[in-house]
Amino acid sequence: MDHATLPIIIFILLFSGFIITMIMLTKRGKEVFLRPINGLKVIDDAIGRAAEEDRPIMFNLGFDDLSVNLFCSLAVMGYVVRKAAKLSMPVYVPLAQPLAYAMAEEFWKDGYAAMGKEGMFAVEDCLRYMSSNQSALGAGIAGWIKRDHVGANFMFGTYGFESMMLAEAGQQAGAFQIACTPSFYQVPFFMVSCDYTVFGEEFYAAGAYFNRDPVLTGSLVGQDYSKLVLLLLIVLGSLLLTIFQKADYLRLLLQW
Amino acid sequence: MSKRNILKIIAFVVGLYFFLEYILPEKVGGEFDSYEVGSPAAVEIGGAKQQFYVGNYYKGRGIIGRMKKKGGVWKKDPKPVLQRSLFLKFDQFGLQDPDAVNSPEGPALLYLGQNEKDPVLCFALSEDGGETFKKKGPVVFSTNDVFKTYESAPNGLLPDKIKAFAADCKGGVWEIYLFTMTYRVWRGSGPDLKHIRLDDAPLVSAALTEKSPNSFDVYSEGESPVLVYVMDREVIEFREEGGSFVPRTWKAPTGNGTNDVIYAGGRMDETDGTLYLGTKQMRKGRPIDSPYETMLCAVKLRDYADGSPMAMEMTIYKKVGAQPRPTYLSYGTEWAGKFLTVVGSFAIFIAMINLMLFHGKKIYQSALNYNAPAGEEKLPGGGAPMRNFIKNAGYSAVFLIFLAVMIVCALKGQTDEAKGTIWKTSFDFLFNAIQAPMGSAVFSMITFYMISAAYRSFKVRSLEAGFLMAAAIVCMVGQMPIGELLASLVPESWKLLQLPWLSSKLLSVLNAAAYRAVLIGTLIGSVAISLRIWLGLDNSVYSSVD
Repeated sequence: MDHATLPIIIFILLFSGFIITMIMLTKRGKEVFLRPINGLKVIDDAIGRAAEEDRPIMFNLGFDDLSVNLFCSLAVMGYVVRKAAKLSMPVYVPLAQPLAYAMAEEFWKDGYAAMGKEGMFAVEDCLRYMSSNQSALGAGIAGWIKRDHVGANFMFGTYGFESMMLAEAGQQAGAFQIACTPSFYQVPFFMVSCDYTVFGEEFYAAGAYFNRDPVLTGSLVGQDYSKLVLLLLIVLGSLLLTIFQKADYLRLLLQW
Repeated sequence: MSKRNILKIIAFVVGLYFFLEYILPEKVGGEFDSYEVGSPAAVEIGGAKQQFYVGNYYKGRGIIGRMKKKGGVWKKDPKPVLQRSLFLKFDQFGLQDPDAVNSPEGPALLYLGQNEKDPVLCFALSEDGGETFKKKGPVVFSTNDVFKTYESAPNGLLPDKIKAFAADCKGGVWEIYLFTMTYRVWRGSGPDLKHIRLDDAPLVSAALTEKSPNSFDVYSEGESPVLVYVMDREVIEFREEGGSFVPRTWKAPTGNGTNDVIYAGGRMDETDGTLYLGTKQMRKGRPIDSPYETMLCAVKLRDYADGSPMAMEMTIYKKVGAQPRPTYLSYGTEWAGKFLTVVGSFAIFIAMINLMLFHGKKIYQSALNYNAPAGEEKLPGGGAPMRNFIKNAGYSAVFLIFLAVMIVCALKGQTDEAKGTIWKTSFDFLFNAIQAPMGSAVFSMITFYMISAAYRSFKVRSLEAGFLMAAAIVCMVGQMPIGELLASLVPESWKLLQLPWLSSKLLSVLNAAAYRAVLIGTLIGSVAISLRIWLGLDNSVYSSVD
């Protein structure tokens, strides 16, 4: 495991300070503006459309094992499952990681139980461990989407080349598709095949987006301040390097 | 206390432990050489023998330590002699391969400085009789009498990159031998280390061994140099005889528990004919991948010139025992990693049971349907019973059969004794002839998906779609041979019309800038959610509890 260098420790403490301070301020009632994220706003519409067409819903959790990304995706999955349970709709969850399977099962069961619909659908029919092999995972999910004529396809989490197979299979099945990923290189594939694509930091905001609690809003504002600091540093560094050609020690300082 | 609060407290405590482990510097928890020792070089300073060696806190970063011989016993200095520097960029990533030499200016320590580019030969001098050393920067070479250094060439004009070196100083004249990346040996000499003039031709112009040596040293025998190559299990001396270098190989010594080591590098002390070596433990003929089992040894080389087997004379400094951790808290994080691996293994069973339940249920239902008397309800699909069965449960049956076959072949075929058995052959066949090509076939299907996606997205419906299309065409054509051809028709000054140039700028400037912006946002986002989970502020994550 790599260990933090001094600049990293300083930045972590600084960013954490921003985030915690803003959470505390918003908890005390500070009003902040939260930009609406279209891809997350239409999740209810996607579930509703699938219910109207009487087609099942699929929620992909990507390739994440036990990680922050998985927790983010699971939080949204919990929301989708509860909404679908309210409408007595099945939510299919294909999984690539065994550990994620155990966690997803808990979230899935909890979602149906919260709406008093436990036992409505069999776990082994809806949650399926596919494979940790990307090709097998992509082919398996693409087949599942087409066979069961999925009506809404959510793709949250980290993806590799299988993103294209999933998204195109959903597109060909006529599913309403929403992708939300921190995997930058898969964004173009999702963009061309999905109805809505959310990427980058918005993925991390998705988990708590549905309830506008002060923790989320404060955290987002804290993130913005952190980015502002980095932006200023980038501008300052560029200027220093441009003006003083020998400002190489700045780079060395950051590497230390 | 609710289950959710208990979970939050556990997450906080575990998170705090990991956080503290992450921010503690690596050196907390061990001595500067707690991870690895190697590359010793001995010299006599002020009548006492000193031995300089490279030690690591943790992987990579080399630091030069010292042992002093007092009363016939080697004793280690508690503090290192030289460490990497922040502002001296030649050795900012560590120091390797030291060589200690007595010179008129005082004891000198030469070493290879590791940095983000090629290794740089640097030196340090002692002004207090060998107690402390002060860095003096790179050694400067030249093939003529102009000694000039550049940002990209801190060692001056060298014919090749340095891989290893040897140094000596006799009568106030420095002699440096460079072993280069192309296996050639160059000799240079000069009055001081800032003015070393290389010979016009290399001393050795072709590789003397097929394999790159672990270390390289030179000592003089009369007027001619003797090259000492330390290989994995042998030491080879090359003596100049009649214009060419003749090898003399010393096999790895046996006895005294030394038959299970390989030589990791070291240097010759020609005053008493002892070769100082760093060694690594071996098991079953292979070096153990555990650097903490390295040690410093010494071998009397010259005494065995009659051909008798060489023997390890003594173990000077041995690093054996519990594996050192970079920090005191690292043990816990390693344990957590192992715990996760174990839990993950159990999770695979759960996942497999899920798969078997699903497919077994399908087969069972189809079998019931197959045997159902005429007139009873049947599964959807219709048609003849057998065709109906295959349609509903065929894939499931194939899956279960192959799952069983693969498990048996893997269990029986993946052992050391299974080589050449039917199990090993079957496993290799299933893996190489079925799974791998099927994976490739599925991967190649993406091409078709891409075409259909590109067809949809490249329709110019709006201004943004137009930009996308234009950028895509520039990037595609710019990276094709026809792009190069078209660019050759455009004058050199009209860069904007040269598609390869435009394409590279689009990718390396616009795209890279956007990528970094997204990356920064993503990383800060992950810090924020980690913090929320750690401090128990994000209830959405704990929603399935209670």
